[in-house]
This record gives sequence, C-alpha cells and structure tokens, in this order.
Amino acid sequence: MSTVTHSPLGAEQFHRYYQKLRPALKKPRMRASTTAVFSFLAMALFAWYAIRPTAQTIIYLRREISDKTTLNEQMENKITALIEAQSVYETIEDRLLVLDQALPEDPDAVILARQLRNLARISGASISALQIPSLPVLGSEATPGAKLTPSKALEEFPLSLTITGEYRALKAFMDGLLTLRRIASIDSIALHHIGGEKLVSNELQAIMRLVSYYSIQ
Amino acid sequence: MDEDRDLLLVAIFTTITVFLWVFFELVKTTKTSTVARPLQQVVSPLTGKIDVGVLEELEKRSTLE
Repeated sequence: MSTVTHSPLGAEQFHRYYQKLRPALKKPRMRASTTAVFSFLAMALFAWYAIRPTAQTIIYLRREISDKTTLNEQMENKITALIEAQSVYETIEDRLLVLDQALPEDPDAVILARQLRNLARISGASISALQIPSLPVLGSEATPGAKLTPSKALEEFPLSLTITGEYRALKAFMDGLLTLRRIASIDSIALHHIGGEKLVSNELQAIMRLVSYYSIQ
Repeated sequence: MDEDRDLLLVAIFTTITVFLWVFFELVKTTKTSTVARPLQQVVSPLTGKIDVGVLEELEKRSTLE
C-alpha cells in the first residue's frame, strides 16, 4: 500500500524566502518605498485599463454628437440648395438645348462641317478642303460591363480647312466662326495669294486649323 | 538602498509614461472625425445658382444648320 505524502519542500522554500525578506520589510524606509512603487504601478495599471477606455468612450460620444449635429446642419443646407437648384433648372430647362448645340456630347463633326459649309456660302467664300482626323465613336457601350471612362470633362479635336475667297469674304467667314454657336476656336491661319506675286486676282486662300470641343460628361 | 531608489524611479517614470500615453490617446480621439469620408463628400456645399448669362450669350449666336 502506497501513501501519498506531500513534499514540504515548497512550503519550506517559501518560508525561507519570507525569512530572508522579513528583516528587509521591517525597515521603515524599505516598507515605504515598496508601498510607493506598488502604488505607482497600480495607478499606471488603472490608468491604462480603466480610465483610458472610459475617458475615450466619453470623448468619442461627445465628438460623435458634435459631428452629427454639424452633419445634420450641412445636410439641411444641401437639401435647401438642391431644391433651389432644381427650381432654377426647371426655369431654364427649355433653354439648355443651346448648351448641347455649343458643346455636344458626341464630336458631331458632320454637323460642324455642314455649319462651316453654310458659313462659307453666306460669307461668299468656298471651302476647297476640309480634313477631320479620326474621332472616337461614342454612344452606347458595346457590352454592359464596358463603361466609358472619360479622362476629362471636355475633349477637343482639330480640323483643318482650306478656304478660298476675297479678303472680305474670308474676314466675314472668320467673324462668323467666332459667332457660331458650336464652339470652335482658330488655332492657326496661313494666308496665301492665289495669283502669286503677279496679283492677277483678289482671291486669297486661307489654310486654317480649328479646334472644336465636345463634352463627355 | 540604491536599488530601492532605482525601483521607485522606474515606477514613477512608468506611471508618467502611461499617463502621457493615455493623454495622447484621448487627444487623438478628440481630433479624429467620426464622420466617414464618403459622407463628408456627400454633404459638400452646393451652390444652387446657374450662370444664365452664358445661356443668353449662346442664344445670341447662330447655328447655321
């Protein structure tokens, strides 16, 4: 029959430690410094695990109330501005067509070419060449997933045209170009006399480089 | 004797560090906005005025269609 006996070694060891510490703890200076050290450590512990989360929650909630109040005011201001903008939009809705004519959503180069031809005819000049570079085909997406990602709000494309006529006709054409609803700016003009240096006729030839724009928003 | 003093100093500095840490955490909480960035963009100010002068200017121009 075996008997289980607890070894008194552990208790003895602790007793030995206690015996060693007892004289040290009896010193008042040592006792005071130990109390102070543990007090400081307890304060640090409470500050980190009790005071910090509580204070943080209080501050966060106060900040949230303040933020939400401000947000509410901003939302009300925005709603008021949107209502105002809607009423203004409804007032001018019928007139917005001019914007599409000035800055269409597609390049609409054919329409622009027709307008230039009409302008030349009215001015008394004639267009002998009109060159439009390749333009992107815009419209509905090829696939539902393919979305047009515009790089900027306004795109531009160049046109070059050669126009012939008298000085007054060319001037009228350029003046007309500046008063055309479709926005097109003159980038460069090169004027030549058709007859060369002999001046046999009043005809001038202008090689113009225009830049037109379209909106992609 | 010196060991006591060192231990006390360590405890004092630990406490000061923890209190400073707590203080800066609280400052950070005070400064950080609780409104999400997308929401801030949604409530960005909007002017409800449209420049009608541009429309009038464009209406004066000819289309030559």
